[in-house]
Amino acid sequence: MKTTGSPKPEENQSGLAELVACARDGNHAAWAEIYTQFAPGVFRFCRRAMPSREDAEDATSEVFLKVRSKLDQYDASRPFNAWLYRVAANHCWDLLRRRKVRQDLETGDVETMPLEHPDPDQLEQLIAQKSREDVRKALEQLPGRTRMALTLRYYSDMSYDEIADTLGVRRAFVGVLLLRARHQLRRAMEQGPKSQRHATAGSKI
Amino acid sequence: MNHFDEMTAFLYLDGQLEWAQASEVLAHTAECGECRVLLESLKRETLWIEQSLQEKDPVPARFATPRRHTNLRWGWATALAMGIAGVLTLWNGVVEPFQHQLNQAGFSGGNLMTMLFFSGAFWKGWSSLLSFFGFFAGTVLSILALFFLRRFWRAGTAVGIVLASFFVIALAVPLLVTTPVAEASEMVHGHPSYTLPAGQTVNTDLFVAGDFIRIEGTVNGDVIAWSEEIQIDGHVTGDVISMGREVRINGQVDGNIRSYAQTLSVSGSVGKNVLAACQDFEMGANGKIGGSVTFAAANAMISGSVSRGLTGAIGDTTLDGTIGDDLKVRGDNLRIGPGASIQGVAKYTGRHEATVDPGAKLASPLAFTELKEGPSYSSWRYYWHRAEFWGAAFLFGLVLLLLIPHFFSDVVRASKNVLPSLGFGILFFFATPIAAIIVCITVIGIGLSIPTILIWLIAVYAAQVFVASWLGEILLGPALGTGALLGRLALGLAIIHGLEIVPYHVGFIVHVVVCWWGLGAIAMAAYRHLKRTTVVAAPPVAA
Repeated sequence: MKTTGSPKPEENQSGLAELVACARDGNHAAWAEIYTQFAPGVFRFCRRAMPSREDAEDATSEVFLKVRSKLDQYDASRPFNAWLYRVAANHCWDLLRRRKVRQDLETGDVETMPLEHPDPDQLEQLIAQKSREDVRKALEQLPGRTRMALTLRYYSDMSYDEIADTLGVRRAFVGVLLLRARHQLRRAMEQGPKSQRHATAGSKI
Repeated sequence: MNHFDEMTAFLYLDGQLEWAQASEVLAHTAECGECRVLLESLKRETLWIEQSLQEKDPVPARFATPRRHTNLRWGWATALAMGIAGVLTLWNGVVEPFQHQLNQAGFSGGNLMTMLFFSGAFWKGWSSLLSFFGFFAGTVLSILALFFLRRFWRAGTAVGIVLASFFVIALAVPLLVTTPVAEASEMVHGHPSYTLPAGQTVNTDLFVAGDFIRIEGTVNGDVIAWSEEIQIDGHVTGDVISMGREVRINGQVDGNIRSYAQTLSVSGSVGKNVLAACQDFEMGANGKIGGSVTFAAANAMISGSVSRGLTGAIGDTTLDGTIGDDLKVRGDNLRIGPGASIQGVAKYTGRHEATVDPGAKLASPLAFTELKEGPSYSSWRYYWHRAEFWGAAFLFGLVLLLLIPHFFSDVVRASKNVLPSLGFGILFFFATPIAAIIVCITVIGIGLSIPTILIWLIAVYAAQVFVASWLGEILLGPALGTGALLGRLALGLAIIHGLEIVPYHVGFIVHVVVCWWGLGAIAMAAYRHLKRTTVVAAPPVAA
């Protein structure tokens, strides 16, 4: 898993372990340092995983509160970044899952959605026409699990096993989930931001 | 092999296919151009999504601000210094001149609180206690300052602490030794009324409550009275502190009169000063006050003699007596009758011009300043004061931002929900004081309601800071970092304060709306904050 947020992970690893150990003993300065180092990264992760900036801000604060209270449960032999982002991912997924109505409907949606065979030309055209910001905007409008799957894979660089574990699905289903997510993303981008809102309002909620 | 489907291509690119299947795909791609194109497109799409998602977009200030200790310490030092400067300015500019004026008006120095309410009343050591509070606050500040400076000055810390303890001991020991114990006093409850008959003497302070209180005898001490009617016909050697519907001083009081009453009438003699808040103040022709008179009243009829000055905020004043020193009156009407004599300077600020009888003896002509409704837009002082208010609000915002950065941004965010904020704001604006007053009825409630009111007052003042930050963000975009937040705060406050100058009630409406809006946002953020804490306290999901 990628260590987004930590500037130089290799150099910092030993220093980081020390920081975490200090923070665990209740050292405020150490905790502040950890926060400073990881808050931007965790926020960016939450920003991808959650539908709005406000949700992401709330989630980030909550993740740090949670991390702080669970610091004694952290196994120091594993990389801290990975653990931190797992906590963040679990928390975001938990928040999304609590919005039950959405989730129940969207699961059915993903299972039954037919997969059209893509036209490579059309795909190339889409890549050429749409900006990276368009991709992010389209991502925001996707259903929770779809967005979460894309974020875990393409932002956090998680393995299929890790994704299966976080989202609580069978490993064999991860590929299907991801490919369907990409189809949904393409569709959202083709429809553009305005019509898209109506389209997703119908399909996702 | 036939063309493979997208799923297979996708899993192949993600390295999820079994070795045998993967090599089949590889072999097929070598021959089939169509499938090769599909693979290439999917690969490019993956890269494209990755890059789009990983592109760094702006992070809110509270997550982006490097919470470096140096910055924080500088911020603290600045905020502390500015806070102290603000307090000093307030003291030098407002409190001290007021105190000075009171001194001139005949009040013998001393602490303001002591002078106003507690002079010799409840506890003789009250002023010592106040100085102790001052000293305690000073010590806490010094320790805080040492704490923040300790990294700069590690070697000196021990020296500092030792010096501070010496300081504490040197100040605290004499203070504790010299603090006098409260004197014995008599407490009386009237059933339902109380009368101290003529010829009887009370040799201590007298605390008395009843329907009707009459002092015909002698009290060698202070009289502290709560009653519907209080009448002093006898002799009180100390002060009279009274709260009642009607307070009449017909006898002799050697000390001061402090009174909160509907009607205060003085037809006897008072040795020192009179300080009163009442509806009607009457001073008969035989009334004699040895010191000065300071009061606020709706109506005042003054016929006797006051040895020193008279200072008052009075609706209608009729003066027909002698004032031994300056007269300073602010009000609606002033009538100076033929029997009046003013030996000092006479100043009157009012809505209507004073009428002065030709028979009145004035040492110098009456100086009249007309009181105008609303702010005086032509005076540069007015704008300077507005600028000062702006500066004070900004300083307050700065301190809030440094003290509680997270809560600060939460409130600014909450204020984006304009209507709910306004709704909650109106609710809390009215409900909090009412609730506090209701709670105040029980004795334990007082301890709860006073802090509530204080917090409420602070929140009402702080409201503008958050609305201003919101306004600044609307105009300049989201802030990254403390500096940018401060810029937005300053701009927002400038706009709000600018709008508050607008006449024809527009300024007032802006002020009230900002107040409600910010208050509601604070309430909402506080609620979310509490909720969030409980969310974390709940059993977390497995990580």
